Amino acid sequence: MSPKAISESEIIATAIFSCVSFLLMGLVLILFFYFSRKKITQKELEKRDLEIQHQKEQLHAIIVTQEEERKRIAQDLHDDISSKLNIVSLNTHLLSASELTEAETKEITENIISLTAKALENSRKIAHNLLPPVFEKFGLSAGVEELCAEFESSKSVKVDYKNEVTFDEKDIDRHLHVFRILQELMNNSIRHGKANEITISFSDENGIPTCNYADNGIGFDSKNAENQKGLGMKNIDSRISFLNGSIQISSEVNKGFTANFTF
Amino acid sequence: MLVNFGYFLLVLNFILYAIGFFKNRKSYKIFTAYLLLIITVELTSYILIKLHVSNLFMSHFYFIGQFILLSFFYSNLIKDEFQKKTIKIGFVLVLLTLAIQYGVKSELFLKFNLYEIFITSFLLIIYATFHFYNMLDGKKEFYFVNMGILLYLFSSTILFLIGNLTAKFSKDVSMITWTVNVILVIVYHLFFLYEWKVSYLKRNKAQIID
Repeated sequence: MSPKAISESEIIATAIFSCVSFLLMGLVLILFFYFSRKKITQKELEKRDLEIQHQKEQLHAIIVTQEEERKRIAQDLHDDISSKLNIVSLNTHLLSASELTEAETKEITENIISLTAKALENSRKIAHNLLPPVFEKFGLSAGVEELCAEFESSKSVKVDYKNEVTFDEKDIDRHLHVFRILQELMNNSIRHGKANEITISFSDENGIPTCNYADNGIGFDSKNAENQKGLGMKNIDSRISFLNGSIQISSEVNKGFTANFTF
Repeated sequence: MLVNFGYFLLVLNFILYAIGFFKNRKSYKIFTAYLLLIITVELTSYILIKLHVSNLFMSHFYFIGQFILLSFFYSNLIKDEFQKKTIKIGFVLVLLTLAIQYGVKSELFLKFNLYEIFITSFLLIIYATFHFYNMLDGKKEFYFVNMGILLYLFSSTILFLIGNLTAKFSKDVSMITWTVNVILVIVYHLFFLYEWKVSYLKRNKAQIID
């Protein structure tokens, strides 16, 4: 044997160390894979939970809004129609009574006529509020135009409306959501924002209809999450998600409010 | 030629990382210290060769020094408590067992110590895997460095494990494995260089201008 000969034990030791190290490295790889998968599944579950939570909140908002709307309609009916019809009914009973002078009969009849006219007018208003006939007959653009006119005439606010998009009549169901969103936004601008100028414009951005809304109200801190959890905003959110659109809201205190959404 | 290129990359990396030494986190500092360790080991080995002294025992300084510095590096980088604990326990156990081993068999000092090579590299591979696992959903820190460490340790460990055998081969044959090692080292340092370019080039440049 030459002095440089390699002893058997050295070869065996090397072989065993090599084998074991490969084995353990493989094991590390397998464990890494196992735990990574677990981690990824965990993350996905968390994401899904969050989504479900969001959907639940939306559903909750829808139900609450529905109830509020019912309450409002009930109140409108009660205050504006039932009360009038009540008096009409009373007056009619008076008419059936005997010993009425000519003048009295005339007065009662006039009363009845004017009250019925008022009840009719109120019922028309209620129906109009629920779904404007202009919107139904002439589409979104005309509906929004009328909405703006209504706001201008009754609420001392200047509304600037521009439209560059031709809306397809077949999509009227989707457009109703857009209409409601604008209604909600305008109501918010006036009620919370104390705005006296509102700009609404529809534009076509790469084939996607987009609505730009802005007001000059007192605004709010849009970074504060509390401001985005109102029922109205949730309602808008769920309508947007229904339309498969997206919405960007930005506002700063005393700097007005802007919202851009696609639908 | 290849060897010189490897040295060049090593020194270049050290200089580049040293530029941002004071303005970066502790893990960055430890990593720079690690580069300095490699330079020191390489330089000492080179001088020993010139003095015709066997430089094989330098491998112990290399492996243990690498293990100590990279353990610190990873324990600074990793936030998970279990993983931190594992690194601490591993650190103590390895140094303890090695101290006992050298105390009992001091002649091991003059050749490649298989246990030492295996345990230091293997634990570092585990730490690197920890770090990869943490980066699955976290910020990518020292991503390419970690990749380089993992790849180099995987491959070089085997080369060092058979080191005692190749040391007894004829010079021409043993040169083959060491050439392979030099190529691995170059790839290793290219990963460091890339990491520096991706993560620190802009940051360090801004500091120089400041």
